[in-house]
Amino acid sequence: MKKAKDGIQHPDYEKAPMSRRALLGKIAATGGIAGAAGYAAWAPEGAPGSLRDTSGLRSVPKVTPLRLPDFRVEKPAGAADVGIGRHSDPLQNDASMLRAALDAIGGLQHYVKRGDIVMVKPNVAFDRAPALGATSNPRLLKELIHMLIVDCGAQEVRVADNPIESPPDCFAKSRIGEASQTAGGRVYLPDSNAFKMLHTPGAKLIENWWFFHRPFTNVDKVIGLAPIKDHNLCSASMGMKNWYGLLGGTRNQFHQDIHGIVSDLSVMMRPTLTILDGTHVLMQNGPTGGDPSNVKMGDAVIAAVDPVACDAWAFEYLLERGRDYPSYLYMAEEKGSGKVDWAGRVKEIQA
Amino acid sequence: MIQKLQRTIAELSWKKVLRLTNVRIVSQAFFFAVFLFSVWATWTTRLGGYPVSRILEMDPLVMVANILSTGHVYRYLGWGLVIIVVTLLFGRVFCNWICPYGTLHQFIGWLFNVRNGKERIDSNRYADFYFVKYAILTVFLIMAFMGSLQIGLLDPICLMYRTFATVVAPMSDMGIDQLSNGLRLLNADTHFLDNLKFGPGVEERFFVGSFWIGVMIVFLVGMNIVIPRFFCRVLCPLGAFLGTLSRFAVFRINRDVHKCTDCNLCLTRCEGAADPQGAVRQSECFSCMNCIDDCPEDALSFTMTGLDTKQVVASPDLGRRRFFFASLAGVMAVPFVKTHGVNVDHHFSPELIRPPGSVEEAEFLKKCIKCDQCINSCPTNVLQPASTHQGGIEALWTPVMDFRMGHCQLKCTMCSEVCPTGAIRKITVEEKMGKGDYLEEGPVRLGTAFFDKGRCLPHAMEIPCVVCEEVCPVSPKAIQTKDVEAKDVYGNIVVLNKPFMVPDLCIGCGICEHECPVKDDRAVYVTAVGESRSKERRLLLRQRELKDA
Amino acid sequence: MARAKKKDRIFTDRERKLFRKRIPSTESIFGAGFLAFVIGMGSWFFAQKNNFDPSERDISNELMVADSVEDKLFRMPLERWTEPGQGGVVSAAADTGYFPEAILEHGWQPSTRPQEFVADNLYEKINGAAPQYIDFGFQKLYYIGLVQPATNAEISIEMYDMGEFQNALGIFAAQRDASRDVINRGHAYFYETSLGAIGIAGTYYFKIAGAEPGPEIEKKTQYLIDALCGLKQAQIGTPTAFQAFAGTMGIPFQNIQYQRTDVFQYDFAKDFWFAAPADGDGMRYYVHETPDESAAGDLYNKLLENHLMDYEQTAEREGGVVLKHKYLDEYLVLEKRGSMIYGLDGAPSIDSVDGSLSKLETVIFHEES
Repeated sequence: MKKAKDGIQHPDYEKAPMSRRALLGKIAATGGIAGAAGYAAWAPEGAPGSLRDTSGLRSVPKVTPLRLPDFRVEKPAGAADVGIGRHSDPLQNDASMLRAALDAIGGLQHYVKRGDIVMVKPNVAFDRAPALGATSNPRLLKELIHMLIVDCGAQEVRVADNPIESPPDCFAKSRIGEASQTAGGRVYLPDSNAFKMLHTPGAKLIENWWFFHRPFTNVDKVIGLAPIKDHNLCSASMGMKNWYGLLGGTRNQFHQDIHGIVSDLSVMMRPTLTILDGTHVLMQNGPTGGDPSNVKMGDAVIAAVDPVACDAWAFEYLLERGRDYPSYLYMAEEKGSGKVDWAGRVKEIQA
Repeated sequence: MIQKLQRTIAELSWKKVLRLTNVRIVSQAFFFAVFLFSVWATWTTRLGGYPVSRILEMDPLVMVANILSTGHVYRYLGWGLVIIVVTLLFGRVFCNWICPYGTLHQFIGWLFNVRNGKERIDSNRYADFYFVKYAILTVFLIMAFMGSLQIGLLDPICLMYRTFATVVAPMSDMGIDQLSNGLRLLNADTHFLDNLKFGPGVEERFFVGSFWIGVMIVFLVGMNIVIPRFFCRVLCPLGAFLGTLSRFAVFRINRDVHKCTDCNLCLTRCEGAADPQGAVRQSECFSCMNCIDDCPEDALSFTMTGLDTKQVVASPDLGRRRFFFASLAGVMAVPFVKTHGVNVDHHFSPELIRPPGSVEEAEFLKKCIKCDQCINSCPTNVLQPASTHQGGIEALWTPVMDFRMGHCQLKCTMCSEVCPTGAIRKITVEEKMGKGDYLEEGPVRLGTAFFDKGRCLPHAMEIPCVVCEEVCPVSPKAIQTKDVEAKDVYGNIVVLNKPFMVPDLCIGCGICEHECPVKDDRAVYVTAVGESRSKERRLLLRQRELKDA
Repeated sequence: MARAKKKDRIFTDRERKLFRKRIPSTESIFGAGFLAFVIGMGSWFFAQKNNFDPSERDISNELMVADSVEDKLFRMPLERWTEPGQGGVVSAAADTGYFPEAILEHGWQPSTRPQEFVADNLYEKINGAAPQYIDFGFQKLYYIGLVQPATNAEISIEMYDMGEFQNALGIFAAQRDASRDVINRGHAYFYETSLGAIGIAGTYYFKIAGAEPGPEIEKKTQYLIDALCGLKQAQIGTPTAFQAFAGTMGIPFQNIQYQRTDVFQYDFAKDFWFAAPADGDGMRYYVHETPDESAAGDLYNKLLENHLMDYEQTAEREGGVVLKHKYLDEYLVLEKRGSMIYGLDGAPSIDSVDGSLSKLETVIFHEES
């Protein structure tokens, strides 16, 4: 290189020669980074530290689905599968009817032990007053939570549902929120991060589906508390259809195979107990109801270890629809959730 | 550190503590907190009896503009008088003592202000284009008088509520959800975080088109870095209104020219660019009291006695010429937007579905201030700020129902409860459902549902569905089914419950549309026709009677 | 990298300063007063929490009851699928329900859905007749109507599953028109009526009835009986003894009886078939099948012991005895072979006993005669 004239350099020009050491250092650094990047990019997919994604599918996020345990508890010897508490004046005596029904299946203490975390799932699908029969009976819920905490010594009682209408309103208008809070239960509302992917082997439609998981964390026992309602598409919405309220996602598609989904639900959720409120029975215009003329006063509260049998009994005696049972009951029986034929497995107690 | 603290405490004197600027900051914090609390409490489980819209109802511009457009004062709008009286006594104190939007601007402007002393002083000198707010006010008031209420676009309180309801609240909820998701991985109980959410207990809320509302506030707040209190000095119609009133104020900043050394230090922190160093511009002054603190000569005071009538510019800087053009613009604006013809009874959008209790559309446009409190209160997320698509420029950001987002809950009247101006009249559930005293009028109808049989699963594709029928909340149901057996292409005999509408029973609540599984373009959808608030947009001549079977 | 310049700050670094020297007392008084005012205002605001009428956010139940609307909407009945080109005749694409598809041969179509009734709703179909069926052990009624579009002939099938052949036989005997002869074809025993046929097949009691008499109906009736015989319950339902009596031995249907309990007035004897041949002169065959040989032996000994109170033994036979009544001129034969107990009673003379018995043995043990 030719030297600048007279050896005078521009005052702002400062020459920085590179030492061999610096050069080697730079080459090593460049080579190291390039090599590492090249390995990450080109190493076969199985290799440790490889980022390669040949098919483009490796980068698709994987959801690790959860599993739900089986919450069923063996009934005590001699107890019925379906217990019914009856009273001619159900409005004032629903609490004692509930106790009678539970006594018939061996008493609540048998099923819930001291220190259990219990999840109670009422049906709070709509913002209706309790008297309209579209939602679970808050008085029964209150009594149930009371029994769980005081009689059984449950550590915590959780109440949750994913309603069709606005959850805060549904819990308020149906008085379910108030009932659970005064009795000492804790309400879980379905907000954005309450859902997780649930894997249910044996369920056809919801083998992997979004599930209202938040209240189920560390739960020991699950009790369904459902009203008995007319339903245009599947004829009746009772204890098993109640679990529909735990699904998230685009669950309105399931109406394309309503019997399939209800029987799947019985596989997804094997509850400890199913309790049906036969005091306000929604006979028509279901499942929303909305008019007092749709509601019939019934005289029974049902508690059951067999969710299929209790639905069948309620269908026949409370909805008064004979033995032309909805086919989801039979499908649920095929899937091992219970038995439709309740003959000889029902015990009635006058409260 | 501790020593410094001890020294500060030692120097503490009640006089210093209770000086006006400190009290002002307390006041600003208080009102900002009340505002935040109001937005937070505007939720179905929290509302109780809190006057969550009271800050809106105290906004005198809302009151005056409503009087101009409707000739009446709705419910609590009379509270606006409080601010008017305060202004007539103390000038524009609202701007720097009460207004939460002003507080936000001042805080951001202070926090990011890195100007040196000279630049600071220069940035707080009055500039000629600060007159623009008076022009805006003139245009809006004339428009209001002619039947189109537009003050809400720029009224700071409306703007603040609107932004918090549709932008800040959902963003903050999203953040809290992320946080609680993270904490739950650590097995923490995150129930307490629900209390921080603006919309607890529901899935994530979305507000269609709220991006532009967000852009607006980011721009306006960001402008504080370029011009301090840009919005308040240049655009705010409420400030302009109060500025016009403040010329009559009893108290004002007064400069004692004998003490003044023309050091211009009073400009260092002058919020309103009110020229306290010269003839104080009474209509620009926010009464922030900073100049008093900054005056080393004690020349400035906030007083009603011994006022120097020479050193003051009392009235706004809107000359006759500017006023004329502003008036002309205002007079032309209303026919201009009305002739646009997208929201008239001859031609209105089927998507222009107003919340229950809304008054007839022409009246609605005279009353709605676009504060979006209704949208904030809506538990199902059905209420959305309108784009120009639904109701034209006039109805921008007014509440409309988008049934793809949610549905109008049968027994909910939250929006009507929080509406400050009666665009959504306060109704009871009884009135909404047409029971009791309202049996004659029947239920409030928001519109009418229709079927798109080309997209409906049972109608077009021989696949069972009828979610719409199941969820229809009225009794008897407005969606009935015709049960038909059909043989599908695979040769199976299927029973299809083909849904159809009974328009007499439909209240347009839109739950059918919301629950329809044809998710993008619904097979059942509600349009505005048949809404009970308007005779002109009616569908049925009369409701048919139920016959005895 | 350039050092952060002083100007490149993010936040303001200015401390709040107070330049003025004098703070008037009125300012402090105002300040204190204003703070008190703010506190008051805040308290008022928060005191509003429950200052509302909760009933406004819902509707009272009394009002709902008072203004209740009863659902009296007209609802169209289910519209059936009709196969194209069938002139409005309902075809369910061969949806014959429980019935075999063979009932649709020769261009017949269902004119109704296949219907099923159980004890609880049987009265919906047959009103007052229901209790009689239920007494005879009724299980289920299958019903379907058929139509032949070419001739407009219509026919309906009522098929009562009685659970057991004996029950079906019972209700058949109770309802039978005694003036008509019972015909046996395949597993079916029936008599013809002017419009069709009534009979039993296995556990089924069936009634086939056309809308009006005609050759198509007659033909169809016969065809339908064959079709019904194809059902599982029809095939497995007929007991061997009945088959032997009615089929091979040709004993008239009305002479065949089944006695469920108290056979020969003994409470231990159950499930015996009796058949009186037309030329038997009062003589009856009887047959009973026990589960195994030892049970047969027990029953045989018991029967013999008890019979000896009224009868006295007159002769021994291979595997059995011939008894004569102590006072009446009647003979009774009690035989045992394998698990079968059989024999005859009421025989007028001892001469005919051997012949009659060998006839029976031929049939029930499939012996070469």
